[in-house]
Amino acid sequence: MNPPNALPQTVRIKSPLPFMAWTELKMGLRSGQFRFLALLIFLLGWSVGGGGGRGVATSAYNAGDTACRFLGVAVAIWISLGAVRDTAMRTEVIIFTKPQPLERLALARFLGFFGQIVCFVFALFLGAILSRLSTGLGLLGFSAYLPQFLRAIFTLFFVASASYCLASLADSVIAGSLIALYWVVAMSGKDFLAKFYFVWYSQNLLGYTLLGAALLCFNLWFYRKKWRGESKVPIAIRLLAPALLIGAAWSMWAVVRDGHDPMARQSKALDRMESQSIQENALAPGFLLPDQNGKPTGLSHFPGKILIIALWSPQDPDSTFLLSKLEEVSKKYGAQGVQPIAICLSEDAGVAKTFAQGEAVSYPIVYDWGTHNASRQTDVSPLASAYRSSHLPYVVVTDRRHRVAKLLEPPSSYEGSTLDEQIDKRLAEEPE
Amino acid sequence: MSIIATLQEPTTGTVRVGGYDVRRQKQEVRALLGYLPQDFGLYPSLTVYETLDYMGILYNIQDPKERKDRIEAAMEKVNLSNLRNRPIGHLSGGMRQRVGLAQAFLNKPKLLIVDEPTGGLDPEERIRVRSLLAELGGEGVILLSTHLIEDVEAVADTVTVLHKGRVRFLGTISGMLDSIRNKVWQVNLTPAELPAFRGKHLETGLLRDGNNIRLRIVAEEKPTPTAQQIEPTLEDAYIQFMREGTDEPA
Repeated sequence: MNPPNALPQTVRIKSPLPFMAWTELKMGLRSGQFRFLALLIFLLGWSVGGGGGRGVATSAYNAGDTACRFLGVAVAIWISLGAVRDTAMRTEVIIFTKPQPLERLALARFLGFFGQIVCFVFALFLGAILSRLSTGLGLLGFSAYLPQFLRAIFTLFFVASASYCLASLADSVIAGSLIALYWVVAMSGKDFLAKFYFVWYSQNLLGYTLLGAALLCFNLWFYRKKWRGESKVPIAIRLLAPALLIGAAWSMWAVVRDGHDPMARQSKALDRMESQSIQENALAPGFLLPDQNGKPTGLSHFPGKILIIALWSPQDPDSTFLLSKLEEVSKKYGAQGVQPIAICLSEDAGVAKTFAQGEAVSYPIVYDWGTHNASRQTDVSPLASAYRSSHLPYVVVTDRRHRVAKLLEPPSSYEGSTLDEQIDKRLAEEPE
Repeated sequence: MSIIATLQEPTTGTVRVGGYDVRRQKQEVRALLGYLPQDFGLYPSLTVYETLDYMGILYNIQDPKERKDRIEAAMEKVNLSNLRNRPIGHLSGGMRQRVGLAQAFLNKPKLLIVDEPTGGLDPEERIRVRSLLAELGGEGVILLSTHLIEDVEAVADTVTVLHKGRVRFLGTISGMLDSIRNKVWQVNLTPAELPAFRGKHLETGLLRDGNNIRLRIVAEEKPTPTAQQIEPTLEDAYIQFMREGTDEPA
């Protein structure tokens, strides 16, 4: 028999992908398991999101960090279950005998499940925002939630695509859950792993997002190959998969090449920074680090100013009080030539921006990109080492020639009137 | 069934549907098929209408009005119109089977494959599904696989008996009955006579009638002087074909 010339069923008017993905999402949103998990995640957001401070920086950072770290494990398992759902429910014998390209079916399911992940992240941030509101502290710097929300989304995109790829190609939840295992190992082995192993650090996100997209393309390429017959995988997927993989490798290499990490590759510039040592009445250790807008910033950019150099870490809850204090100082003494500079000690390049936005500060917050993985950042930052700061937040007051005049350790670095007294004393000795 | 439905590769030989090779041209074959597997699942959180709407999209029925019309007609046919908004998870096994059937013929398939469609259903649902298949038979080719002879009697125009992968019979129902016509006998025995009689002929049924036993057997010759020749049924023919194939290698 000759094949019919025209089959109305195969006429392609437009891609049904959005409808298919929406149906997948709808199914997930209606399930009791999804709603229960979303409620737990909302409560998790509530528990971490009530952070203090003038603005929402701590709330936003905690929400983002919790989403990346702890949702990563849950998402890997959730997506793995989703990847093998049709096999487990015996729906594949119905779905895969329909005249849809296999890659479209697989992609629709992934998009539907990733939509559920976005809803989880939304629930967590909603919990954090409502928790912050419940404390009566207001939502100053609300836009800081956005970069942390995006950080969580891109991190979980990698988790989702990698888990989905492993689970669906091996048709096993256990295979997909290996990503959850990786997450647990990374979180517990922080002190022993290089920074580029951590998907959720902002500087690594591009590389891992590209890797996630590459894995997704490979999955679409090889998924249920025996059910494909002679129909070809679209050329776009076959080209994109290796291109994205190369892009991911290049991006990851660039992060290692331009970074400073004793576990991977050290920067000579940061080594030189570390070789300095703070001494009273001597010039403060110099640096040139990117501020919240990416602009390289150093001591020499503020000639003739009394500098308030403050080292802090997002993991230290008192740091937000210091940032608020510095804003007060900037407003009160800025006109008299007093300039605060905050140095953020974090392995994550995006933190300085979040805190600058979240605390609505008007002074530069620079990111110490030499900070590497450790339980205590003061132990492993070249700049913290040069400033010999053993406790955070730590403040150095200089004179107008940037010589060290006073070192303030917590709590006097941010509490009470000690800092104001030191500034008044400097202004008395060196009026503008 | 799985091979024709493009889910399994044939180890040898070729299968063509509408001229398309099921091994190589799977997408083209799928566009011609409706398939109701023996063991299948549906998404429990979707309603009946949403399930059929999703399947309509998977069939590439993209015009919303056409899709809606076909879904309405399908629901009407399987008598589920009044349950359109009920989630699949809240349906009985028989109702789910009817949804499965509705999704299988939603695309007006050139070939509708139904694999054991009445298995596990209560008698009422079984009759309903069987009637529906008989009705659909007028619209296209239906390939029905079943172990229930009543299904075949109610639905089939052409019957193939497969045993150990080999075709034992291919023909019409009347042809199948003709193949054993004048070979089916009823023998009346007492319980005491039964053990000695058993094993000598192919038995296709046994019925107690008070203190006596009516034994239904298939034999070329009249098995006893008192045996009565009776009308053959498909079940008699089916058992006879199975028996013929028992000693042969697969």
